[in-house]
Amino acid sequence: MTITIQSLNKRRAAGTPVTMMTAYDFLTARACDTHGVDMILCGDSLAQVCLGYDSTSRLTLDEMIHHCRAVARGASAPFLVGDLPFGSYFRGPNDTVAAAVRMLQEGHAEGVKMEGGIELVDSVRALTRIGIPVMAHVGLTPQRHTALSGYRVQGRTAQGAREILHAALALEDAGAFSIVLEAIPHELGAYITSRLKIPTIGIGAGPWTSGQVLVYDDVMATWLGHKAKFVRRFADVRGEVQKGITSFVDAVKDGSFPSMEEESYVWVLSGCVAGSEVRSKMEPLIWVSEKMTATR
Amino acid sequence: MSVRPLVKETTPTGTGSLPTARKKVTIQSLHKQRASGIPITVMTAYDFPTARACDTHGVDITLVGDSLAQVCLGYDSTTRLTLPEMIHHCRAVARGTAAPFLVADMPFGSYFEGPKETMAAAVRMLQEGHVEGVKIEGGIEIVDSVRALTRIGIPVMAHVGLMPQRHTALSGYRVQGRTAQGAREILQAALALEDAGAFSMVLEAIPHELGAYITSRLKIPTIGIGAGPGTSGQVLVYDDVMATWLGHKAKFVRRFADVKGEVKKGITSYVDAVKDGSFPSVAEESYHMDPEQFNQFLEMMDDQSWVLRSSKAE
Repeated sequence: MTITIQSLNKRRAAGTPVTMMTAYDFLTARACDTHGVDMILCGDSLAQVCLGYDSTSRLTLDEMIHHCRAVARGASAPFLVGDLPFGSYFRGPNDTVAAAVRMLQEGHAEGVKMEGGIELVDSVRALTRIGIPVMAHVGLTPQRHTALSGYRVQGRTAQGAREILHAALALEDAGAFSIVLEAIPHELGAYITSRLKIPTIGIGAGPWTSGQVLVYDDVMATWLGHKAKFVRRFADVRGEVQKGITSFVDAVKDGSFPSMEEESYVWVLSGCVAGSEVRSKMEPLIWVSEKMTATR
Repeated sequence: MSVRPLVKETTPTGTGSLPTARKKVTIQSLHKQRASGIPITVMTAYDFPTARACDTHGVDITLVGDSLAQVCLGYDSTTRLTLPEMIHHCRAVARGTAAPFLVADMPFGSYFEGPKETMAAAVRMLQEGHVEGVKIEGGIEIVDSVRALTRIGIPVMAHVGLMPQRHTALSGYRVQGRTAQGAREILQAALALEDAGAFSMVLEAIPHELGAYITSRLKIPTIGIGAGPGTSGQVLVYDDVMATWLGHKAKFVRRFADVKGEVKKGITSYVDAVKDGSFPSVAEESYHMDPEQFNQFLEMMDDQSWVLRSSKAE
């Protein structure tokens, strides 16, 4: 079933949590689609987990579009949102609209996500007015981690909590169809959710938001960095990859891969006339073949 | 969205600054390996984590293969991949590679015009893509280009036998060199490419006897894929090894792990845990607010009677 904004609203009304996961290429997108994720986020975390940059802020719009296209090729049912990367939406509504249009036309995303509060309201309104779905993102905004000297929980004080709530209400008013709440106290996550009509998607915001999002490589334990408190590793893909490569390396080194019978092509077929003709023309061959396998 | 940073001592800040306990693989060490009869291992990678995995687990040569067109980007054919797209992925692989020798495929269409244009494309792969050598599919017809590259010091890995970039023209992925004539053509191409300066050669989908014979006739290492156990080494596509590729399994592929099954487990457990409310747990996976601060906040909102219900607040 193809997920639309309407189906997300229905989920919220029925109290069914919405699931969201990041993807950054064809196979990760296909996996999300196959296993029932409601929304896919082509997140700018790909800067680190996919491209090996030291920070999410290194990712350019062209790079994001390249990966978004690959994700779009792999996913059909989930609703596809792409992050507007750092630096692509700071100039104001006109340039932000241009960037978002590229994400939809070239990147094949269905909606865009932007990090920020009150300062984004004009841009969000410009986008939603021309029909581009916008997912807001408040609380901890990772693109700003350097300015904030780290990834810190937000909204721990009454004042801080109020700022986040006000931003959320303003962004909803500007037309955002949903909002990510990142790294805030669970009480605040619950309160903001109760004050909004649009679905909230939490990450480190407690279990009372309308849904949850996690980064693919955190779920799969393939990310080598620090594990944030709110991450749960649901599989051990890193261990499976280790098994795959080390067994391949060992099998090649000890000569057991490829096997002659199952994994190789045989030239000389018994009883085949053409085969014996070939055989006689390449006479030293059998000797060579035996010698090569003997040296293993 | 973001992930938390790598631990300080493993933070990659550029090619070559990754920690590694292994000695860097060079063309000389590959020759030594061949001479001592130790098989060479080659695997494809197309981004940072696949490159890290190859480096960490002992692969000798990491190949940024144009198979990424399908397994990573979801194109219907390897021929859709452009040079700028390949360079983008090379850079990511290079950021994750320290010990293995790093080779990348020159994509279809980037080396047909002749030696000068091929050199320009290869220079881009090294300067912008940060790879150490390039691989080119073809036989006698590319000898001049290979010679031009090796003459200016760009390592070239040749590739004969089944050449995937030509699958449409050949109506499929067929085993090559099954007849005496076909075998001879492949051998002659291999010898000519070695003479033109190639440092190694991939042999794809040929009878194992021919793989062993060609290997015995060359001085440079041969890397087989569907060429039998008599070559100097083996290469496989990452997603075939990991069973994540959804397509047809070629005869010569062995799946050494079940990453697809592990991914399925990861996503379905996450989805189930979110749906039944067990993730995130309030105690271990959520942040808390000082009760005084929260009450003060509710007062500011004039919402003092709001209570966090023990079940979902919907």
